[in-house]
Amino acid sequence: MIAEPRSVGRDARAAVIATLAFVTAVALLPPGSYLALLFAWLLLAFAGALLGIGPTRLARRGLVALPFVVAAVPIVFLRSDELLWAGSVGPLTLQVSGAGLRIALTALIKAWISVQASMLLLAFASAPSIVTALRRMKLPEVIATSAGLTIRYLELLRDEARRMLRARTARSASPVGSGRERIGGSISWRARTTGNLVGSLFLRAYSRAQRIEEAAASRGATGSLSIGTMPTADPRLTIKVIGVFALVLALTLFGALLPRL
Amino acid sequence: MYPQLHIPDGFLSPQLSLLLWVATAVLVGIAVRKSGRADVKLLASQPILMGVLGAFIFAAQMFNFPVATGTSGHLLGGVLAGYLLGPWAGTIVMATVIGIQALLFQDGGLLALGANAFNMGIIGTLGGSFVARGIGTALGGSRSASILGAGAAAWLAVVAAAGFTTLQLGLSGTTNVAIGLPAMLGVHALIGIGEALITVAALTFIAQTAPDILAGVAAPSKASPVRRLVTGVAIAGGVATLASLFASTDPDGLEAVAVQLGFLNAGEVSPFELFPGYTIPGLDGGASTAVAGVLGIIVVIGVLFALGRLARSRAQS
Amino acid sequence: MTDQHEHPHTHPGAPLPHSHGHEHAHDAALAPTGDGTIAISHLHFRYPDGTEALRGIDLAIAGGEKIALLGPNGAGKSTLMLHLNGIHRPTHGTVHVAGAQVSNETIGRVRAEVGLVFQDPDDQLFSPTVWDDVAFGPTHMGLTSSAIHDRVETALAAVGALDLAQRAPMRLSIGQRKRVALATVLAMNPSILVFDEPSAGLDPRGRRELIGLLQSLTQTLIVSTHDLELARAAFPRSIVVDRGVIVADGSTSEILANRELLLAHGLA
Repeated sequence: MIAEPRSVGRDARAAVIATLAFVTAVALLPPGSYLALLFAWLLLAFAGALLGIGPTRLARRGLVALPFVVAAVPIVFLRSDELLWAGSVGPLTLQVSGAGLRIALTALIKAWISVQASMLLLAFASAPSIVTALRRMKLPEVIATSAGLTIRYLELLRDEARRMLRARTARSASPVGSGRERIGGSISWRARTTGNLVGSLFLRAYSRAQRIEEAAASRGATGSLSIGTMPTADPRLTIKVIGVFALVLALTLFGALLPRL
Repeated sequence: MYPQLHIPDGFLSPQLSLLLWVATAVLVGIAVRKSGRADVKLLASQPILMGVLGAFIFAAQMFNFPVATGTSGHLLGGVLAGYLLGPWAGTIVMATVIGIQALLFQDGGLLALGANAFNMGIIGTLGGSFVARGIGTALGGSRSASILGAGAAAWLAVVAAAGFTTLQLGLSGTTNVAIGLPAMLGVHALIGIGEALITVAALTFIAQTAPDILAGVAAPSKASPVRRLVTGVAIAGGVATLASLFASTDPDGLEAVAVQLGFLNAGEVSPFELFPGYTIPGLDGGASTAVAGVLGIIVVIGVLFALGRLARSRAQS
Repeated sequence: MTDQHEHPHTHPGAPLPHSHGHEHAHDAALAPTGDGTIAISHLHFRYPDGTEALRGIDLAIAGGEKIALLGPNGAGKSTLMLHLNGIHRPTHGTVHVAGAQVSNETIGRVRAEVGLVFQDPDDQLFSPTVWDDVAFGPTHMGLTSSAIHDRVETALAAVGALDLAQRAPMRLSIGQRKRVALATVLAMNPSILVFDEPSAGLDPRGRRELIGLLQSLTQTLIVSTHDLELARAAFPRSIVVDRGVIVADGSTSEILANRELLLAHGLA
């Protein structure tokens, strides 16, 4: 999930731009560009190695986006071009389309690669330094401030939610006489219980916000509160960004020139 | 049963992704202006409240309730955020949460962030919150009417976000809407019931236990019968339009639209050309569209960069 | 004093005590259904991140015993307590409560036998009224509404909180919330009660009331605490846990007199 930040306060603009450009370049590759996608992944694996993340670990952690592939499954069976196989499975008549398979597989690989790219961004720059980079790139102040605070209080509130869930689980016993876990009460009662948990967590979050505001006010802060100071600007930003775009150009050209399957 | 609404990168055509990035950026920009003079004020410092409630929405999404063995319902929280913070600030918080989910948790793609923030933030939170207020007004404008309105809007927001997600996937040629749309709408109609129940229960809980806090949320005004009627008709009309959009979407028609807008190529399935039909002399088709695409991106970035420089020098002088 | 086997072992394979008709019985007085025994053997537990929190715990507790669980922060006390209710499951070894081995097959039953009272009552209380909160457990267990009513009333009476029934938990004092949190598990008729730091955050009077309340309970009690005076006042037996193992198990007065032991394990 959240990687240990390698540095705090470095200018992460080049890394943010590189990640976005890389992900865009990968998205631009046409279906079936497996060779270009392999090249793109090798680039990532190289960057990962520089950051001390081995290729297997990177590849494994990229799998988080895969459940979404369900959305692309119908396309495999519902296109009628490039029929690879047709037949009946039980009561269903199915046909597998080569074009559909290619689209689904490409989407899957792109998702897998893009996830690894954003993981590497996080391994390179800490979450707060990414927010700072976005502020430099003209992200509105109110968004930057609230994103910064969200990141800062995220784990704290998730931890509170976890403890509340655990306490509820501890009290979630089965109806008397039955061994295996069963759930009593109606669905609407269970939903109401969950709503109560959400409401309780809101009140805890609200009182925390009040305390933060009081603390900020006692330090004389007014209106917006700036989070930390900007790190010094990266002097070689322009060169880096030009380099990034050269790389993206190369990747896109590969996509156009390398044979597709 | 988590809502399947965080689209990863790779599933949307780049053109559509960029278009939705721009649409989301414009609307969030408007929200930033509007949130300054919010009609909902729970704390003097809106940014502090927004930041902490962003973390709250994040954490609240962990709460599940068992529906049947092995299946549980989860909260998305858009309409809840809109109710507690007002539609505009709620939209900013939701868009920020979705951005952080993409960045820190790889839940949803970076390029697809525009689309995800559009579906869950703009449609789900901004749209949902106005629908919630509308229904609350139409029902008479009391506190419980407004909470009921939030519940109905929460259901609608989840279903609408699922519908838009599927349409975008369909436009990108990664799903078949004939199968995908009914499936997504069906599943999310169920998930939406959980969303509605949790939203109503959470707001009822807050109204009961901490009425003083909720007093900061613009107390719904009693509306005249005429206004109630007009709002009711407007909401019904909006829902009907949405329903007919989803009902009438035929896959071939959608593909035709996608081809026309350049998201898809009719023959070769290649969501590749940024400028359809644009070629560079001396290069063959594939390579030339690739180069055209990259040049297009560089031009856009260049223009943005120049505008940024301009804005900065203006600000300094 | 460090002998871990001075207490009688229970029989892990013993059949579950039956509770037929209990919810209909009018004695909704919270007579425990189980025998309150605990038997832990060779319990090892490793967190997903690789931390080895428990490294071979063997423990036998007879029904009705009152035990203080002592040890420095991070010693494994909380991890051990979460095993009693099946929230954590052993990496190796077994845990039996009230004669039943904690497993997916018995988990629903185990949660009814073992009541966990967490340190922060705010984690435990989430309903708009005290009554609703105490009713959560019985409702989840699928009891009839009259049985739920009896259970809630008896549990609230047992902690002296009947008059708070219609109040919002979050509007109560810390002492009141702790008592209500205890009532939420008492209403499930457990034969074993497990407390995490019950005296934390209480003023002297609240603490005195807590000790009185603990002494009035007939269930098997296991209380994790840094409060040695509490241990001395209400718990005849103490177990010292450090670095995932039991380093001492014996009478509280002997353990608290062993200054060397207390110093070695960060208790004094």
